Amino acid sequence: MSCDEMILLISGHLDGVNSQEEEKRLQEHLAECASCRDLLAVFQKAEVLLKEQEMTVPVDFCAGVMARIQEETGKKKRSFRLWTTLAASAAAVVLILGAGALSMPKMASDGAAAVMEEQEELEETAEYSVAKVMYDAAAEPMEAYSVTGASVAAPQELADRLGCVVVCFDHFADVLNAYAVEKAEDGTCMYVLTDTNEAEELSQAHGGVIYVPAETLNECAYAIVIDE
Amino acid sequence: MTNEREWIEKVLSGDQNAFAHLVTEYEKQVYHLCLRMVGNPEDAEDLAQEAFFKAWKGLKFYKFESSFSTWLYRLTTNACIDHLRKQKRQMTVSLTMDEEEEGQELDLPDREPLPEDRLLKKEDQQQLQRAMEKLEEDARLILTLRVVEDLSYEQIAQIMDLKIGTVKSRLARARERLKNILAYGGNKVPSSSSNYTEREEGAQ
Repeated sequence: MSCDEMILLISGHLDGVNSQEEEKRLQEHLAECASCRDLLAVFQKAEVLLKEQEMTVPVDFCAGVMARIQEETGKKKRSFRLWTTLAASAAAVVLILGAGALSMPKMASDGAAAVMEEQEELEETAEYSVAKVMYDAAAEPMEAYSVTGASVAAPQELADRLGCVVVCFDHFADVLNAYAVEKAEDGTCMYVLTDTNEAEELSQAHGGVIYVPAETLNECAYAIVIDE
Repeated sequence: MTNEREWIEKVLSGDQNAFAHLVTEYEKQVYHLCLRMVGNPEDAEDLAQEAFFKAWKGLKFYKFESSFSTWLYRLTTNACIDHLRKQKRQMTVSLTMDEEEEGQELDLPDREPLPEDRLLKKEDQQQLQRAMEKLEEDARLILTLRVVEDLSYEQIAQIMDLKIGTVKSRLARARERLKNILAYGGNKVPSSSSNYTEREEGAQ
């Protein structure tokens, strides 16, 4: 076995995850190879040095976090009424998160194509993008929805045209990270909620929440996303 | 932490002091990870605060499927990676011209690699820190989670969304990169000549 291939075994040895057989192969190689012995010694030294580096957490760190939470709690109380009114209208909720939802796959169904045309009439701006939600019952739950999008100048205008409840707020990065949702390559991602109460709580905790009425989900629906 | 679930449930019932307890419990790990990833204390503090803030906001959706620390690490790594990418985008814009001019030279190491027994000077933490900073984000992250935070392969797999077998090969690759950076004195180094990583990952 060459020295190049030894790095995997040296790495496994450092982490204590090699099998007995791997460990045997490594030890045999080390017995005859000075440079791999040196390399192992370098890594051992490096890891001790890395662990040793003392880093002190800033004194007021916890107080800083709690102050920010207090500030947010104040804000939440102020916006509570608005959210409860809006949330009550959603039986099932799709939360779409993301920015730049512009280059998405083509829709398959005729119905979707018709709505797509309407969407294309809308003017593009950097500020808003509109996402179209498609539901595929045969797919896995979290992959059942696909999203496409284009930009619109005014979210309210779109909501009026399509007759669905559309709510949009900002702070996408927050929500993405809070739910450990990965962004897709095109910058979009989504998180599907089926529990209205959960959605209501979410809406109180976060901006960037979009409501789409449940009855529109089986065909298509629009939701508006404010770009990050 | 055996009663961690109780603390989380207290937070969910509106007890902010319970969240302060969770912050003090994990602030060291979270702050360390941020500092290792971004390299300066100011940004690290901001990012660590951001991670806890997001944890507080998203706590009601934490389903106890992974450990709380794994979930928190995931929020933290996402915040760090986002920050580093934003920073890189800004750097790319401002440095494009320079890089175009110097690109040719940077692509080639300016001397032979150091032999293994001279890679790391004794007790030279700064040299090591500089080399860590030159690592690609993912390599720095996985080495930090493993070596500094002392996490298991399983936790790392959950945090970074990888298969466990891939964690092993990624760690080997990260160590190889670190070795190359040390060997070439921090100059841009040629990419790995070995092909074990693809084989390993392909086998999963």
